[in-house]
Amino acid sequence: MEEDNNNKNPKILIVEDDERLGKTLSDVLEVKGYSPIAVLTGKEGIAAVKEEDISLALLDLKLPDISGIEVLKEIKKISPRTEAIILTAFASLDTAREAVNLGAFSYLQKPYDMERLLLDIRRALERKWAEEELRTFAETYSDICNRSPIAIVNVYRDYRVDCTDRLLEWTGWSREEMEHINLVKESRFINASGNEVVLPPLVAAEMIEKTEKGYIPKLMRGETLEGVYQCYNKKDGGTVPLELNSVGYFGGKEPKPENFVHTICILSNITERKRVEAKVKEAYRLRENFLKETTHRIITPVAIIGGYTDLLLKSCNLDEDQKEKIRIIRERNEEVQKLTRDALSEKYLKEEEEEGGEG
Amino acid sequence: MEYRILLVEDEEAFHTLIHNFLALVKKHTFTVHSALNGEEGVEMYGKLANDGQKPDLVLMDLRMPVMDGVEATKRIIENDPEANIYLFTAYAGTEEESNALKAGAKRTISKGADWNRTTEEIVNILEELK
Repeated sequence: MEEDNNNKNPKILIVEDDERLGKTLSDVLEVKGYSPIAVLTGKEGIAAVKEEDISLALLDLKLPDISGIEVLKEIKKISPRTEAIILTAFASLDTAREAVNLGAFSYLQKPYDMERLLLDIRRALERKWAEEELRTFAETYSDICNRSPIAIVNVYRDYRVDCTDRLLEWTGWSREEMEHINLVKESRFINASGNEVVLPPLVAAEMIEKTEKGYIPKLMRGETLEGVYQCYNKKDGGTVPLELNSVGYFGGKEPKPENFVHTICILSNITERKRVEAKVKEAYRLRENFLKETTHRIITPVAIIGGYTDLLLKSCNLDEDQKEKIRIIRERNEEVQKLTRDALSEKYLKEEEEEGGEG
Repeated sequence: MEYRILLVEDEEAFHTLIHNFLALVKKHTFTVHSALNGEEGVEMYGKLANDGQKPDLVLMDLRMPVMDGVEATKRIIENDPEANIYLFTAYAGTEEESNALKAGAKRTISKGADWNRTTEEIVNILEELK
């Protein structure tokens, strides 16, 4: 029933109770390269749509069993992508409008001009194929985007966001919530159960300043962001660390604020990286503490040894040989003191811990 | 001259060393009162001040049990803003040091390996006081 898919001999259903007229139409269509199926009643028409892959249906409004409008409804229910053209002798504006509202491509009054009908058929099929192509493309694209390990997020001028499934997964927000969420402001909406829902901004408080005064205006001016660190608020109250690469979309126009449509952001989840970074930081901190503690402990005995050697040199009656030996102890002790001082100095302790990001 | 010093220091060896080195300075006489932690130091300072024997100089270690040098400095200064507290520490540039200086300690006298210099520093400070 679905997808005729290729343009070779598309099947066209003719529902026409005037057998002679149906036959004529059928012959013409066959000559034009279509595969016509002519039936006399609405029920037969519906049955045909169930069985065959019908690209387009030509429907007479006045049928012996049920009305052409009913047939149209059924066809759209069974096979929404089947196009329909209504043909009737008793035209009224209301039924015409109804038919078009129900999804008919066009509405021709009998007696119709055959050329006009053929033109409408071609146009209807072209529209159908174009839509199918677009749909296939969109489905493939959205499938790739949603399964990708990265999230794609568009941020609009009003800070509304539009994103692929991955961001929903990372943050825990539902699609409905994400539709109402604002990047930098609290937002509210009434959900399906009629309750008011308050949503926090998507970007964590400490990042908002950067986003509002830095990142977004930058993108609006046509600059790019690379490797920016951001934290997004999760539904459960925590945050998820993300790395952002982004560029503005200007609808093909010159990249300046007036033309800005939305940002295109590629986000990667860097939870794991941040966890490792925290561990490394903790390891540095422990090492620093250990070094500090150890050197502090060494420095006291060093000062005491220094004190007693000085005292010996100063107050005792030692011969030159003894004095020389004590001086050696003293010199070596000073070396140890110098070493511990160096070890305590900032350059040995402080390891660069630059945060990826910019202002 | 006669000088009174209060040494607040948990390491007893430093008490011995200070005594010995000051004893070698012949031009002055020194009385060194020893406290082994910050709390003892605060108490002793108060007692000496009450008895009209206020120390000319307090040598205050930073890391000590019971009460550290930062807290002891704060308390002594609270009662006597004029107190002459000098930090007696082997390492400069620490957070503790800057906290003690904020609390009112004058500056740091290095408790390093060179005790002739340490003694000289103490004597200079005292001589400049009077």
